[in-house]
Amino acid sequence: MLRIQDLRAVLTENGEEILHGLSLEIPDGEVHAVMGPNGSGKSTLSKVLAGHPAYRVSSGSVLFDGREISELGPTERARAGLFLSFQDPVEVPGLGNLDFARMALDARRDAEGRAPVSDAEFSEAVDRAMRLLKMDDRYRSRDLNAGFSGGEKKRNEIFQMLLLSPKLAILDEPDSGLDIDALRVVAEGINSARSPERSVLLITHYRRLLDEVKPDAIHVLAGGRIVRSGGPELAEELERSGYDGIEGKA
Amino acid sequence: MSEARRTLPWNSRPVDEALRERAEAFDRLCAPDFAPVRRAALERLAEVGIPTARNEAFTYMNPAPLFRADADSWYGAPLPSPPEETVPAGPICPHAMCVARPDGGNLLEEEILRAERTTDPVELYALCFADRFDWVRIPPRDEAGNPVVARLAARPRPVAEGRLSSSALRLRLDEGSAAVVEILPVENDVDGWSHLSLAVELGPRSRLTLVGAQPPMKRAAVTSSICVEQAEGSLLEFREFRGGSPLARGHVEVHLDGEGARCELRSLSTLRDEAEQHHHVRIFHHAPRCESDQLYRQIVFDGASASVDGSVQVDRGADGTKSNQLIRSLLLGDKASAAGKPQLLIFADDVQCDHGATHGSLDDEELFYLLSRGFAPDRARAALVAGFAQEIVDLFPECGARKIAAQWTRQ
Ligand SMILES: Nc1ncnc2c1ncn2[C@@H]1O[C@H](COP(=O)(O)OP(=O)(O)O)[C@@H](O)[C@H]1O
Ligand SMILES: [Mg+2]
Repeated sequence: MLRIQDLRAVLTENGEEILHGLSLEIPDGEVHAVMGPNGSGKSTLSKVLAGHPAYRVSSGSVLFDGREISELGPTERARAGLFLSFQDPVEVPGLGNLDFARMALDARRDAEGRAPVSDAEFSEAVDRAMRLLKMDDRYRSRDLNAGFSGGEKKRNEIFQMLLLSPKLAILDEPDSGLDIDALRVVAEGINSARSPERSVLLITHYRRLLDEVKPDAIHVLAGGRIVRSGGPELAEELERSGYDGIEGKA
Repeated sequence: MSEARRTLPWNSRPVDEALRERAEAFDRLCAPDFAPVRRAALERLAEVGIPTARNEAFTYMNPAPLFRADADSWYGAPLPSPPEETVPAGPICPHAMCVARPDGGNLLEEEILRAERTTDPVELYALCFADRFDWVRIPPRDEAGNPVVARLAARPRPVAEGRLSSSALRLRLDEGSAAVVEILPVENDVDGWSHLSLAVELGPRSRLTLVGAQPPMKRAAVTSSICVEQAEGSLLEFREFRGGSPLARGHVEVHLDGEGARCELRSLSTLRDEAEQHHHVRIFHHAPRCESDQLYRQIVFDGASASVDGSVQVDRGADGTKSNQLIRSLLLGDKASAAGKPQLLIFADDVQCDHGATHGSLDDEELFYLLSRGFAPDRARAALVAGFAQEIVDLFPECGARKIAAQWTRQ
């Protein structure tokens, strides 16, 4: 599904390199966690994959579903089935949550050559996702993330993921700032999205989420590259020895 | 009335004979009852002169096209025919008591006083040629004694080719009354000038929602002067949409005269092509514990320009004042321009103010968020612009103005 090879990414603004030759592969249907200390480049990786204009790929390649995407714009990547759940989703007052979700869904369907979603189909999909994520009915009439708490924003990201059914979901710290109940709900949402056709790149800082969403593999990102990869048991080791211990073995 | 309201310290040019002659000819033709008002305005104008670009009221706008003195000036153009109707503008609700004629009462005197005291140079000039005055009084209860929310619409005079069409509406809300007043759009997009002068007195604890929407004009100059005086505990909710025109200016002046009065101004402009929109706003906190809360949003496409010249003055003794003024302009193109910053003149202690202005393009992170959800770039920009406008449109009461605002911000 996703094959990143020797990826170097720099800040568009001044050419400073943030990702220093990063390689990572996620097969179809697998959930891979990426963990790492603050400032190691996790969010940068997620934004580079989604095509954020603040970063430029200076070398290496990103194959998504067999296609090189590093020269594509963010719109094309999304339409091809890539989804990014933001660490800090923006607030857009004046743009209705559901209006936005529907436009996003229609964009995705358009890319697949499908007609815009019908009212009935849309409301059914919305109801299903909202029920699963235990979302308040008030959400329907609110504007995109406007005045949302941190937890509500994260939930809204997962809601959009469920609605858009991407092929690859990149989730940047969907657990940060959540209490234990909210974390369970978000984890349930992610688990419900697991399927042989969908891969997930799950960025997290904490092991807690990985107890709920069991990853197929864990990668440690430090200093802009993957320094260690392993199975789920790596999470325990990280908890014992911290990132410093791990980096040493890279 | 404070001294500040009476002085017009401006650089101006003298009123010439042509203007006098025209004003006199106008008097012979039009609505003779109002001649004393026009004369008072003309005398004052002769004193202070015709405003020029150096007047402090035109920091961001060149008024020359309004006051052009060449051969095809307003006052050199054919005279308007006398107004056919003398009834008040628009549908008046049954509870509004209306005086269409200054039948010997002191309304005419008040009107003369207003002409002698206005601080808005555009209004002063327009009053020299005003041929229609409507007075409306809103009592708190209907004949059966039930509290009412009066609804009425004011229709500014349509634009006439080569002329200034000037009319005035005076509104008085009695103690404890409530009204929703809609200012209907100016019609007839020809090369002329329409001015509406609106003066409002809000009695103690009265509530007024004043709402208006002006679709864009390609040729006409559209100006207005709104002056609101608020007694204690009164509330003004002002909502406006402006589509701009080659020259569009709105003067808004609010006097918070009574303790605990509150005004809330929400203004949205969407300007395309060569359109201009200038806001000239003066808020005066004369009494303690009043609140003024202003928000201006302007969407400026390539080639258009917008400005907000807004100041808030807090008098000595007006303690416990709360005042917000935020200006936000979206500049959508290299040749889009916006100007203006809030100004504060504070002579009281214990004042809480939050003022700021930002003029910039769409937020990159917001744009990226939408793109990352598969929005095409044009679609994403349009959605963000529409959202920026919608927040203001949402505050309009259900009425024609709301529909106009929604229509002109959604394309
Ligand atoms: N747009 C940017 N401008 C400047 N520095 C940036 C930018 N994006 C990332 N960086 C820098 O790159 C490093 C990695 O940041 P980030 O990817 O956000 O880390 P993480 O998500 O792992 O905490 C940090 O040192 C950060 O300051
Ligand atoms: Mg991060």
